[in-house]
Amino acid sequence: MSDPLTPLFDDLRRRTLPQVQPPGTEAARRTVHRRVTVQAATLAAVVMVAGGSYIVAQRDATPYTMEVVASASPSTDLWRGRADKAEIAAALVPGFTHSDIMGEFPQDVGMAADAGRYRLRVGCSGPAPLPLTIMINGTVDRQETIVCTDAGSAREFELNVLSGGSVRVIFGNQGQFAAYALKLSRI
Amino acid sequence: MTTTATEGPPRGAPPEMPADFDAVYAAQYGDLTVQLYAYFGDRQEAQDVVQEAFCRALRRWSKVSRYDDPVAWVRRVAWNLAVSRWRRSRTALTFLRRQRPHEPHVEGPDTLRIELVEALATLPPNQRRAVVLHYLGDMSIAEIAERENVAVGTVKSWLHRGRTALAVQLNHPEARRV
Repeated sequence: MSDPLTPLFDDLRRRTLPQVQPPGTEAARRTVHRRVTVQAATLAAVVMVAGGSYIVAQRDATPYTMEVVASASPSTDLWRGRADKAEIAAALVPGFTHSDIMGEFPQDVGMAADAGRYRLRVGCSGPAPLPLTIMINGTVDRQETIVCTDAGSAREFELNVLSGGSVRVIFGNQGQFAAYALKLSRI
Repeated sequence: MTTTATEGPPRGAPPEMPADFDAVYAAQYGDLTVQLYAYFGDRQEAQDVVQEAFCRALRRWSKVSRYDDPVAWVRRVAWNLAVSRWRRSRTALTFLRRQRPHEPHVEGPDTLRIELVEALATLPPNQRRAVVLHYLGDMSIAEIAERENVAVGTVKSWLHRGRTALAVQLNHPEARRV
């Protein structure tokens, strides 16, 4: 015997679906962008307050008068570059294995690698050049800088791993706000 | 390693590539909203919850897109949000329902649909979730049991009770207005 509720739920689905108006993926991207910006601003404010407190504490602890140099005004563009820069970087590296947006600290991406020849493809999008250091089995292999643009750019590096171990890619924080994606593939 | 999920994969990717956010959104937003509408009884609330779930997925899409079933992740987050919102608003909803005047139902093409949503609202949350996931989420009893972290027999019991209660409500709608 068929379940009498099934047609009722089918009807509910059929009649409700046309009334659903999705806000869309662009709205979702704007929401995420706004939240990341607020998070960055909050973090910056916390750092500034903590830094200011430290300076005041140091000044109070000093027996002689010390001129406190006013800190630079906070950056108003804590989030720079296009809202979809992460996607642009990712699109430049099909099958990317790692991706992120650079913050105020360097990022270290480590990957296991057997002996052999590899191609490292790095894509980036953003307002700042992205310096990177490639290390093979703990030894610096090369240091490069990728010229990031809003439209995105990509570089490829051929690596020769002599014995099994690891390949590390360390992105410098001078590339703050740049989005990157990378993939290491065997040649 | 210090990487976090932030974005989706390139568009037009081959099948072995991670799922495309826009495609998943387009395919799933409506169905998920219908499920949560049946659960909440409020379409706008359902849309808000589903959009929030997709925002959370987008934030870590490079990870989520590589899961075997990214849609399951979005569905789980949406339902978790729905359940927590429901718990928060349950008291207010109960109050509002009691205050709402009983208006005569006008017969029309949507009457049965509205009655179904109203009847669902009278079920206990676990029975309602089971019924909605089964009939609108197309989930098997085993899948619901896994999702709810309960035994298969428990889900069967929820569904049986839910069906019975719905049948009573739909055959005797005045019962839910008491």
